[in-house]
Amino acid sequence: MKNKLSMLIVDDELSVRDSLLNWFATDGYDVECAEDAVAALKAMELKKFHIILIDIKMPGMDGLELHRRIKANNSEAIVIIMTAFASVDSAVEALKDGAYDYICKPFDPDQLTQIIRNASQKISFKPSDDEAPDQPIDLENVDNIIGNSPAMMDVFDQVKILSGTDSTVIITGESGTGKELIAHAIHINSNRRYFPMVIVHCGALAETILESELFGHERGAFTGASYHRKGKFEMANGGTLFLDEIATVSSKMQIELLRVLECKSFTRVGGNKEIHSDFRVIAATNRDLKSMVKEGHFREDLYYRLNVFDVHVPTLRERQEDISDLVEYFIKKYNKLMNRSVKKIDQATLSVLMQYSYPGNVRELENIIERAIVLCKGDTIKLTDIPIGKEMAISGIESIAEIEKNHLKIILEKYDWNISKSAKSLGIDRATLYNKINKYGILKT
Amino acid sequence: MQIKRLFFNIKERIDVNVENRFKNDEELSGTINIVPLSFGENFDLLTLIEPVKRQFNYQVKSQDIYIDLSEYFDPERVQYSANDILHCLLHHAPGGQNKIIGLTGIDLFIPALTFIFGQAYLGGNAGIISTYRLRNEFYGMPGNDDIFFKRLNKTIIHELGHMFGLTHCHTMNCVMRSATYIEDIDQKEEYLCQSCQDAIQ
Repeated sequence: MKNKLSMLIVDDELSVRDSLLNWFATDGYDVECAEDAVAALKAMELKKFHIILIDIKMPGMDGLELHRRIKANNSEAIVIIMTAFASVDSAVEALKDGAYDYICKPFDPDQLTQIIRNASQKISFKPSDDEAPDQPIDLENVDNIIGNSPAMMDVFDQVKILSGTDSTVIITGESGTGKELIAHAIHINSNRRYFPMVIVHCGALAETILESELFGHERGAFTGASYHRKGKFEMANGGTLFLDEIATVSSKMQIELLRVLECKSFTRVGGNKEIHSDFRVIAATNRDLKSMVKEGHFREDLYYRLNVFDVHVPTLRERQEDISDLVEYFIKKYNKLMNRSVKKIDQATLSVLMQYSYPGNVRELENIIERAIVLCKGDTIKLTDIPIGKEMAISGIESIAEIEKNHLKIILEKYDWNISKSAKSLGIDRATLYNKINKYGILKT
Repeated sequence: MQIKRLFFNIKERIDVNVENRFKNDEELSGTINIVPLSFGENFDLLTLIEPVKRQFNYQVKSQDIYIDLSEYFDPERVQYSANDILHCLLHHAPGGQNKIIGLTGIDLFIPALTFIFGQAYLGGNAGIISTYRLRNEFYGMPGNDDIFFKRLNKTIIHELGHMFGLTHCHTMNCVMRSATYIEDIDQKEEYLCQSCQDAIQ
C-alpha cells in the first residue's frame, strides 16, 4: 500500500488490542493501540489517525466521552464504536454524536472488513473538480492477454469502449480462446474494478445446489446449514457477475436468472429479507445462442437481456501471428512456476506450432508449452518436447523444409516483407534469408 | 501479473518427479514445518508440500509435535483461542528464517472476531490454520474434496505469505487477497500475484 492509512485501537483488553492489531496490520494499515482514553488522547497529540476504533466500556473515561473529546478537537478521524450487545443503546447515542458506525463484539470478520473498507474508501476517495471520471480511460494492461494481431486489437478496442459503460455484455468464442480473460479485462478497466468479479460456471452447477450457490442461504435453512452463506449474486455486489457457459443453464434456472437480472434483488434460501445487489452482468458462451433461441432451447427474453453488446474472441487459427508471443509468455510463466530455466524454442519447433490448427485454442497451446517445459532437457524446447509432430505429419506436412518454408512465409508477412526485421526475428542474417527465399521460391502475395 | 484459472485446466497429467522440478534442498532459503494438531483429516500431508514449495522456494516438511489443545478451549465460545495456540507454536518454531505452521481441525477464534480461518504474525515465524470451516459440509453443501484441498492450500499459502511479510493484496485473484468468508477463498487462485512474488524475493 503506497500511503498507509493509520488506525488507533482503543480497548482495555490486551487480547482484543493484540488481535485487532495483527488483523489490521496484515491488511496493510499502520496500527497503534491504546489501553484507555488517556493513552489514546496522548497518542493523538503525537500523530494524526485516519480511523479510530473505540471500545465503549473502559475504566476511567469511557468510549463515549472519548468520542466527544475527539469530536470537540475537530478531528477528521473516522470513529467506529465497538460494543457488546448489552450496550447497543450507547453505541446508537454515539452515532447521533457523529460516530461513523458501531460494531458488536465479537465481530463477524466479513462485517468488520466491510465497515473498515467503507471507512477507508471515504477517506481515500476525495473527488476533485479536476477529475473527469467519465472520460475514456487508457486500457489497463492485462498482462496475461497476449496478442498484437488485428483480430485481437479489434477485441481490445471493444474492451476499451465497454469498460466505460455499465452495459451487459455477451462474449462469444470457441472453447479455450480466453473469454474469461476478456471479461476480466472489461471488469478491471471499469468503475467496478475495486469490487469483485464473481464467476459462475453455469455448466458446473448441479440443479440441487444451484439455488444455494446463487442465492445463498440462512443458518438452519436446511439440515446441515449451520452457518449462513452468501450466494454469488450477493458476493458480486458493486462488482461484476460473470456467467460462464450461459447456454448450459436449464429452463427453470433461465426464469430465475431473468428475474434477478431484471430486479437485482432476491432472498437467501430460508430467509425473508430482500437483498439488493448491484452488479454488472457479463455472460460467455461457445454456442450460437441465437440458434438456440430459434430452436426453443434458450429464452428469447433472457437472450435479449444479455445480448446488449457482443464481443467475439477470435480462435488461435485466426491470429496465428500471436503464437510466437504466446509461446514466449508461457515459457516465462512456467519457468517461474516450475523453477526451470528454459530460454527459448527452436525455429523448427516454433514453425510446427505455428502450422498447427489448435482445436483447443490458447488453452491447448499453453498445455503444450507446460508439457514441453517439463520434458525439455536443455535450455531450448525441441520438436521432441511437443506432442503435435504426429498430427502435423498426418496433416500433410512431412518435411522440415516444408515447415521452414511455411514459417518463413508467416514471418515475412508479419513484417510486411521487411527483410532486415524478418531476418532479425528469425535469428539469421539478411543474406541467408534471401538465399532461403530464392531456395523455396517464396513470392510476395 | 494475474494468473487466471482459464489457463490451469490441464487436461493431461504429466508424470514427473516433483523433486526434479525444484532446486536441491541445499539451495533453498529455509524450512517450513507443517505441523498437524488435532487435524482429524485422513490424508497424507505430503500432498500439501508441492504448492507451498513452489511459492516460497523453501524446503517443506511435515513435523509431529504434541500440544494439548484442551488448554486453549474457551467453554463460553465453544471455540479455541488462536492467539494462545500461536504463542505455544512459537516455542516450537525453528530459529532464523524458518517457519512453522499448524493445521488443525478445531474451530479457532481471536477475541474480537467470531471465527478465523487462520492466523499468523506479519513477518513472524509461526502460523495456525483451521480446516473447521473449509469443508462444504459445514455450510450444508455436498462434500467436495477438490474444493476442500484448494481452500486448504490457499489458506496455508495465505498465512505463510503474512509470515513472509506480505500484507493483504488488492489484486483480484491473488492468494493474499483478504478472505473473510468461504466464498472469498473460492474466488482466489492458489498462487501469489507477480507483485507479491516480487515482494518476497
